[in-house]
Amino acid sequence: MSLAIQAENVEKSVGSGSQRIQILNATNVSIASAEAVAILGRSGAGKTTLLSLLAGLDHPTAGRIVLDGHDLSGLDEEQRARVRAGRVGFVFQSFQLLGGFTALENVRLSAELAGLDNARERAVAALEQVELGHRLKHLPRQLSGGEKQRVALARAFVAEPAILFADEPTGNLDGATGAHIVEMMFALNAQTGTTLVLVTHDEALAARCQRQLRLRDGHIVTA
Amino acid sequence: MNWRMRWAQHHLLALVRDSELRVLGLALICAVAASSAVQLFGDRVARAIGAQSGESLGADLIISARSPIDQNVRAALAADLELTSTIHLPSVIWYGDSNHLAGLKAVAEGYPLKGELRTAQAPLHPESSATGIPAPGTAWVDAQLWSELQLESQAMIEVGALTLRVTRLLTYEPDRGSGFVDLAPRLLINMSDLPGTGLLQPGSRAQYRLLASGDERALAAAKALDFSPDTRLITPADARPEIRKAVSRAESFLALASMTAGLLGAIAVALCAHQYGQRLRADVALLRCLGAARRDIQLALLFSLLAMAMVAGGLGAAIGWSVQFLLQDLARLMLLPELPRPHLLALAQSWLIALILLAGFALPPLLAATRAAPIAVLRNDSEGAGRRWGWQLTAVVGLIGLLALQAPSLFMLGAVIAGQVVTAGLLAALSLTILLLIRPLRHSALRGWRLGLGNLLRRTSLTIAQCMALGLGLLALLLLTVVRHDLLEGWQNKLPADTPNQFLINIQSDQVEPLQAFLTERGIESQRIWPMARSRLVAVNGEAVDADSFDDPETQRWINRDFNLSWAQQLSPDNHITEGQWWGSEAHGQNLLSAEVYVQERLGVGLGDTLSLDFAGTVRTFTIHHLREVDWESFQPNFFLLTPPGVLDDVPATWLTSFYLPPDKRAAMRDLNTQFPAVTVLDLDALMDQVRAIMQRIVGALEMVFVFTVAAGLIVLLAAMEAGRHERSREIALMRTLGATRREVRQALLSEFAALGALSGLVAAICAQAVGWILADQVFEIPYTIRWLTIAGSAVAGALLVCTLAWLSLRPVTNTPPDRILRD
Repeated sequence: MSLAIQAENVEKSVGSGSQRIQILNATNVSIASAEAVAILGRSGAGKTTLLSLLAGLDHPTAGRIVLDGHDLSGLDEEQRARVRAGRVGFVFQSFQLLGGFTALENVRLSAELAGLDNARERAVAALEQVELGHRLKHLPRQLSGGEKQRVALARAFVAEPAILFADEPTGNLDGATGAHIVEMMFALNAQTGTTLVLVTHDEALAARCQRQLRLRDGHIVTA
Repeated sequence: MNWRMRWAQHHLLALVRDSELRVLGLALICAVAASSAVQLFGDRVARAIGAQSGESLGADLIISARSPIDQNVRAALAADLELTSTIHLPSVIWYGDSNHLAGLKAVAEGYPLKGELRTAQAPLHPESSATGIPAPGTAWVDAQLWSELQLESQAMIEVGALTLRVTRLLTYEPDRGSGFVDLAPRLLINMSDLPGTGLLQPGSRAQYRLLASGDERALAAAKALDFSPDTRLITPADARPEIRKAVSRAESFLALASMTAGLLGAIAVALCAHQYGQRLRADVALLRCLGAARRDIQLALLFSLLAMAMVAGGLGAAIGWSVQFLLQDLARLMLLPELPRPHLLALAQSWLIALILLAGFALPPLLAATRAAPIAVLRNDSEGAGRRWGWQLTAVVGLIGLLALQAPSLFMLGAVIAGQVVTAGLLAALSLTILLLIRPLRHSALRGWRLGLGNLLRRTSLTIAQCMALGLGLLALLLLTVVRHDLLEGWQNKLPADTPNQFLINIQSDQVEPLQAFLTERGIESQRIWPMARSRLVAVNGEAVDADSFDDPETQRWINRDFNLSWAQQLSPDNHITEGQWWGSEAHGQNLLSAEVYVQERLGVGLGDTLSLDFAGTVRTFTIHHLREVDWESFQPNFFLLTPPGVLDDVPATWLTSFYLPPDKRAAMRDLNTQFPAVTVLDLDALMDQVRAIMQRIVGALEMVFVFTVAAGLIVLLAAMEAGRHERSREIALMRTLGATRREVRQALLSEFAALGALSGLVAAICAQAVGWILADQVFEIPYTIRWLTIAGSAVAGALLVCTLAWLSLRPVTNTPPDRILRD
């Protein structure tokens, strides 16, 4: 079994001196390829911080993280960006689409950053897969919340990433729409064999993952 | 097209779609239009002057003097050079009952030696090159005189004692200057007719010119000849300094307007780019999160800025290109009949201005946005937006570069920068003071007001920045409208209605009494009659001097001219003593001098120093008794040098007087001209009308450029409104969500912007009045009354203007369901 992500003694703190706040304490996480893992915990427990560290969006105060075979601790921000391009996908609670780009352009962007050929055709196919083939030229502001999240899903999967990070993907959606998005996400995950790291409050959603990591005050209490 | 190009294209399209970039684009267009209009016009005028230098004199060399050129000199030059001559003098020309002061020029065969005369049959008829000069008995007049006298072809005009037939309209003469005589409408006659006019008398203000043309060696030999002291040599190198001066002055005004538009443009660009940069951070964080390299993001941004500079710069240049054609009227005032075609290279400088504006003021906040960390997509924060002094430095360098491109001199560059810094500092200090003063008002009982004022006080930095931007915009508007009007009105009111409008000069001693009787008979109240003797300065404190004794060109020119002296027992009311005391009756017959402060400045002399003056071969030495200052704008006769009575009785003198001639007595001047043909009448009414007309046309041309400055001021107002618009939109949505009614939201907004507008208007009005006072005191030298009503009115107008703009800007937000804004 190869590891998609490995974190060893990862710590994160902010501030300095008496103002120093410890967000994560000596955390160790190993996630296998194609595994689906949920990170749970109350607000302020350190879930999003852990996700940002594992994805290489932020750097730890101490410890070592290996992402898809790349030791992030030795890489600067530019090199980490290169690792993310194509190998890592993201789905965010607040969708995070480029407002000036159409649905197709948002998805195509990800394929292009991954350096894939036929980026446009792949983007059209990805959007059709999330049932948005008729919304290619719509701008994000012309789409509903559920549609925006489906564009984000298409963008995340278009480059067939090794790892998908999802931060509260249903947090901004009503129950039915959220459920539809979750179905699509797990279907794509199963179809592409992508490793899934999911941050959520939702126990039911977490239960669909193979493993749950529970965080409390910066510590993993259940792995 | 890859994502970088699509992203760059998105920013370019945002020039139309996005409110902040739209204002940024407008600011760019406005600044470039003002600059390109001025640059293109300046370039064309400079090339026109350059092209004319060969023919600008009508000769290769002119020998000019106030007395006929020595026949020996003429004979010496005739051997190797081609020669001709002209005589210039002012004279009143009559046609029926109409009369007008003209610059009469009598020309001999062969004139002009270089260049050509152009004439037409009548106004609006096609012009053609003249093959000679006016035949004896005929005259050519220019369009101005033709129009003033309402002439017809073949009209008979009276010039002194001679009647001449007008046969052609003079459209162009190569050596026309812009001295008093040359600014007056032109009358060109044959040299052989001049004696018959009776105008050429001893002491008449005639200028004799000998025009020479030939090879360089002969010209060099001519220049080495020994000329009389009152002779001036004019070469193409000295050609048309009056045009250069007029161009320089007009360019200064135009450059000031253009620089102000550029500065205001820079402020607007900086404000909009800062706002846009804040929003750009989210896009950058996402792109970084998805793996985009920062370099690619920066390249895409640079490309889009370059494209913006091309588009906005191109549009601005096209507008400037059109406007500078309208400025051609100004060129005609400078006596440049035709301007060469606009040079495309001058447009490149306009694009450079767009680039500098973007590089100096838009690039720093946008590049700062590219430093957004990818983690920002999860946190929704603005971490990493820290200031870098490099960007501030870029903006300062950009600003100086922008102004340097447009400034005609280093002095003006320094003055504009210092002025702006002081004004901005004053605006900031006053805004902060007033904010502190209105702090207690936030506890007002009205909820809307409480919210609005609370917003202003909570965001002190943004409020002060907005006040500065709004204040600068309003200041430009106030200076260009209210204050300018006040200053011009003040200047015009400086001259009372009965200011003398007629000057009579060259009155011979035996004509003094008959002339006074003539005026008394016709009920014309003459002012004092002054004697006038001509002399040349030959020594200061016993040491011989000439033009070469002084380094200062102004003194050199002054020394070369005749010194007009008069004598008086009473000090004129428009003179005041600065050193020493006015003399009493005991000074009668003593060789004392009353010197104007200009004499002191030019010669560096003081009380007790002596000046030796040559009166047609007789040298007399005078001791400076006191110094006085003259109000030269009083339109009364005045002299640099005065002596007590009884000193110059044996020196040849002419007399002059001035009086106010009401319009209903103008016919008397015709009789005066007939009875006293040698007396020169200077009709200041005509001159003042002419000066006013020229001023109006110059102001008209300048206003075309000032339109851009006003537009730039309005754009700054818009940009200031855009600052914080997104934050305000969210606040409005939150207020609505929490139960505030639409009416309460509008009340809060209106109170906030009314206070902001009133505050900016008040501060701008105070600054505008201060600038007006400085200009009145230092430039116009007129009294200036602080207009408290204007200050109060400006505060109200500022409040109304800013409220209107805010209303237009935020109305869509108040009408949009709050959930939509919060979701977006």
